[in-house]
Amino acid sequence: MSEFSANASERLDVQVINLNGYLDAHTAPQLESTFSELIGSNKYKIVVNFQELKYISSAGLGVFMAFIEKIRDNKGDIKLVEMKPNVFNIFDLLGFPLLYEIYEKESDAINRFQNPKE
Amino acid sequence: MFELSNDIINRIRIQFLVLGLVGILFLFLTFGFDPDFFPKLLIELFVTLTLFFIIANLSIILDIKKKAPLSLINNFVILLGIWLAFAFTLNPMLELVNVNLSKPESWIEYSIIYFLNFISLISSAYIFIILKNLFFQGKRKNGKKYFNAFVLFLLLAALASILDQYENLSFVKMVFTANAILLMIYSSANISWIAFLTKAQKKNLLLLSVAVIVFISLNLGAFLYSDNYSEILNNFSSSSQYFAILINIYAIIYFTFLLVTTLFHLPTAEAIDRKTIEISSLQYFSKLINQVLNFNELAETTTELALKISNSNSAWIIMIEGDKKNFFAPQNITLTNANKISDFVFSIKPEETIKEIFLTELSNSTNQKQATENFQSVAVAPFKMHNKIVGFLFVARNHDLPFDEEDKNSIQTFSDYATISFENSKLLSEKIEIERLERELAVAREMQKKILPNKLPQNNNFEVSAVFIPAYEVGGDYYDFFELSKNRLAFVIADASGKGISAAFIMAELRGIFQSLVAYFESPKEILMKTNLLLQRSLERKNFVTAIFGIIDFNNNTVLITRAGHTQALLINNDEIHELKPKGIGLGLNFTSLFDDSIEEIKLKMNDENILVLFTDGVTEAKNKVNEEYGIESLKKIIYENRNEEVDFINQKIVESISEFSKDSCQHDDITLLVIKFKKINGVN
Repeated sequence: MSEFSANASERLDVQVINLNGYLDAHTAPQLESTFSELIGSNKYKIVVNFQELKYISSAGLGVFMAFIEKIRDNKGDIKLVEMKPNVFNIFDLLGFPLLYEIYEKESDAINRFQNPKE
Repeated sequence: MFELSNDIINRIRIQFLVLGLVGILFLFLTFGFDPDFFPKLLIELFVTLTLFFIIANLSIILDIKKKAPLSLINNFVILLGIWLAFAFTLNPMLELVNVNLSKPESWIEYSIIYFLNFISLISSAYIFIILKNLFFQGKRKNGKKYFNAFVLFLLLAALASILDQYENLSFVKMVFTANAILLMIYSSANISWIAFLTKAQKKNLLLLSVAVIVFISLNLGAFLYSDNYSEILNNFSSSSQYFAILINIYAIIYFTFLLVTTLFHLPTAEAIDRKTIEISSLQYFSKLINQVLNFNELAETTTELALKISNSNSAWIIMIEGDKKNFFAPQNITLTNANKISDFVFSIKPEETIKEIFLTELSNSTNQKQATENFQSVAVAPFKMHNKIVGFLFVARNHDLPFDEEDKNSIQTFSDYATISFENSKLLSEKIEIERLERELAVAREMQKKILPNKLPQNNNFEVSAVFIPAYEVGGDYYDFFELSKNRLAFVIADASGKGISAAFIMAELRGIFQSLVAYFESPKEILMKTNLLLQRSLERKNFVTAIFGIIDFNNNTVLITRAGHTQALLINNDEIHELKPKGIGLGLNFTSLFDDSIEEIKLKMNDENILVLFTDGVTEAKNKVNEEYGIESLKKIIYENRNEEVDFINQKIVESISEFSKDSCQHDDITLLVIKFKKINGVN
């Protein structure tokens, strides 16, 4: 019923996952497997683009928590970009801005991976 | 003894007896008085009664009713052999000890005569019982009536033998005998139970029938032609001798018919054998359909039975899942060989074109022959579920006989049965899974109900109202109040991520944690920090808990309030509505000082008629038909409009408003609402 897709593509050795549709308990496993594949091929620099995401539930939020530790242990990160206000509001309520880097533009996040010192 | 006599004197036998008596009395009255006749009649009646007695007793002793006809005949032949050996050694033995039974003098000779007569009665009775049982093996129309008529004529003929001395009355015996023999012939025709025997059993039966015919003929010969023996019997009781003769004739007729019928059945025996195996396999299979859940077990049984039904040497199953072909339950073949044969079959006929059973020879292709050892022919039947082919049954033969039309039909039928059983097992396991989930949810709901407080705190200083509407899947909402002292009250509202039993467990844990922590710590911030640490052990990495925890102090009318990732609280103060959103990360998202540092504790001063509203995201995220959310603004509006009402009324209005909004949509998450209104607070300390 709920439509969702998570497509990963590579940009300057950073993996960008584009989310589309509704991310809830039913569709969360799709995003989980996308993360698992990236981690399986040792790709730890990940940007998640929320531009096309319409809704996220608590189960959807959980997916980011499930992988962040392993990714950071491997000197990578998950950076979140281009959230709509309603989506940002949910992340904000939960306190995600303290836990994740959130950018307005995808390129900012990619640049950050390229130049970590800045 | 009483039990026996009950059995003997049953209704039908008395009827026969009376009929016989009446018949003979009629003859007696018609043909005048003979001084020898009456005592003779008495003796014959006495002998007939003895025969009944023996038959009844033997039936009970032998208890042969439940035996299969073949074993019955087997025992019959053995006992007949023993009986004949005894009968034929009797004369030489008697001569050896110089006893002449035709002119008995001593009491020993008399006792031998009576003993002989008695055991010859037993032998007749035994033959009668065997024949009766064989007659009743196959059920036939009016069988009982015919048999009773037969017995009646048999007895009448036997009794009529006492009229032998009157030459002009010999026709009476003849008439009864003719009737009895006609009925014997009738009852010997149509022996239906033969059809259900296997070929080997039929061969066995042929031998047994020949043996019975030979033995009975010898026995009959002894009755008719052995002067000594026949005379002894005749002198004692002519009717028992005649009964014995007739029953022996019946045996010969019956077994001759049996012999001929069996001979005729022999050529078709093999085909019947196969059909029988097929039918019993299918029957077994249809029982299995409703039982087996484990697919491997089912596949194993399927190939096992397929071997029998198709008369093949090897069998295996291929199930198609996406692009993959999975092999199951190979019988008498290695997976490598099964793979090779399957590949070969699919190479000459692509799998998607095998809509019906497909037969092919393997011997023609030389390179395949090597690979497939000595397999000659193979049959492939598809498993079709809702017009989709989900797999194939393979059976292969390594003998010259190719699969014929009949094999084709039976394999196809069998694979159809197998498909049904696969489908059933699939449906069944799905149903069990659903039932398991439903039971789990029922447990979770029960837990949730017990975890939530059943009584709200009461105090002159405030009014409180709580609404909890659980979602079907159990969302993990939790709220509670703890009265710390007369003037201090702690409150908590929380939402554990996840659903069902795992969410319910976290709720239970939260309750325990808060209950114990409030006794030791005064500051809400400290309590949330400790809660976060305690939850670390039980929360999965992707699960978390959001919460608002606060303590109301009525001594100075203040509220200390903290928030861990939870949706904002609402406060109405001086006719204005405010969102309360102290900083704080959700519980379980981080276990370092980052969490502790993030938690902000704010202190609010409460005034009279101030309203604090706490809720979970089930309220604001309630959806309508077109997936729009109820939202925080709608909630604020409805609260503000009803700010001067009682707390219960405010809650009721909120619930009405939410259900009006989401009336055509189902509830996905628990809904929890707490409304606290402060009273009799003057705003002055």
